[in-house]
Amino acid sequence: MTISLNIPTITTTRLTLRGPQAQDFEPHALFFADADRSWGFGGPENRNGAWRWFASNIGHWALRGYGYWTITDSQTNAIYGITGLWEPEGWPEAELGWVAFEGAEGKGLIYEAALAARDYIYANYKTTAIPSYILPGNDRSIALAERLGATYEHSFENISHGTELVYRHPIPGAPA
Amino acid sequence: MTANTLTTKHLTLRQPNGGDWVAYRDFFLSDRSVTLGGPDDLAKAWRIFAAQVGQWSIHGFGMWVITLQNDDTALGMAGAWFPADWPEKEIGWVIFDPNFEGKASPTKPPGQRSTTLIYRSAGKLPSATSARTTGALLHWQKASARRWIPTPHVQDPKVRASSTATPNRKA
Repeated sequence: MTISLNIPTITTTRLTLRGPQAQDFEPHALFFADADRSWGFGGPENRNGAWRWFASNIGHWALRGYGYWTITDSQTNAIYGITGLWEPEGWPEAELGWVAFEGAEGKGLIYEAALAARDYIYANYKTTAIPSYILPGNDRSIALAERLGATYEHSFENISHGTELVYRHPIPGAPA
Repeated sequence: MTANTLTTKHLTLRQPNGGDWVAYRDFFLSDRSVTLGGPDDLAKAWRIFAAQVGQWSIHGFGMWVITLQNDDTALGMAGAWFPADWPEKEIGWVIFDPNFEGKASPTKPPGQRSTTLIYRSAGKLPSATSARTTGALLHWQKASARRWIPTPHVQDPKVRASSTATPNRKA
């Protein structure tokens, strides 16, 4: 509205990745309220905390020029989760992140979205291999990182989340 | 960026941008932020700073950054804050640099500028005179909140809005 973000839209076979919109907040709030689902993403958070994160993502787009896209179904507009490039203050590098909202797993949707996001990131934002930071024990996220061709590199102390695992994605142009 | 900028006799109020981060950070990592729930760590400070920027996109209003008219340095912020589950739209303010507190005239050198100007810039605040500390927060009366516009201080003849007020999408 008053801040023009110019967030690009990415389309895949089944999905549309678009910038966050105000109506995306409720699915974010549900996600953050679910401790089992959100612990690997800094949750759980109450609605107020979820809003602050949601607003910070929009601000991230304005400040960094990239951020998390909302993953939607191209046919139904259903919201499946988020994926994107995340680099808040104190992050050692910009990382590829992803979140599956309830009901989105098991269909390859988040893989499809993260792969498309990564291709877009390499084409437009980053030319060197990007990491994903994953909390130890987040096995579903590790499995997705490995399916994307990322491999464990080292661990580090994240400013917000404590010890995290660095999974390094293939360099641009390498076979996935 | 189509800035929603306000101009007062001495000050410019504009939307926050990345250039304001250092001033914001230095305040919220310092003990001066205790009345606003600080000090914060670096990660939290940036998250809320980014949320301040994002709020403008979500609501169409937010906290303006306060600068002098001839210097874009962020001196503080004033405006609206309305995260989810907040009971009402709230108006708040903060002065980042203590050298800009406690004096009356912005025409004097740095160190002699005034939080009073912030009250004036923020407009007709209910019980503004009761706010004594940087970071003190006021709630608008319910009647005002129902009729919220992001530039309520246009009622103040010292202040003019340089762009049309954005209607509150949630009114």
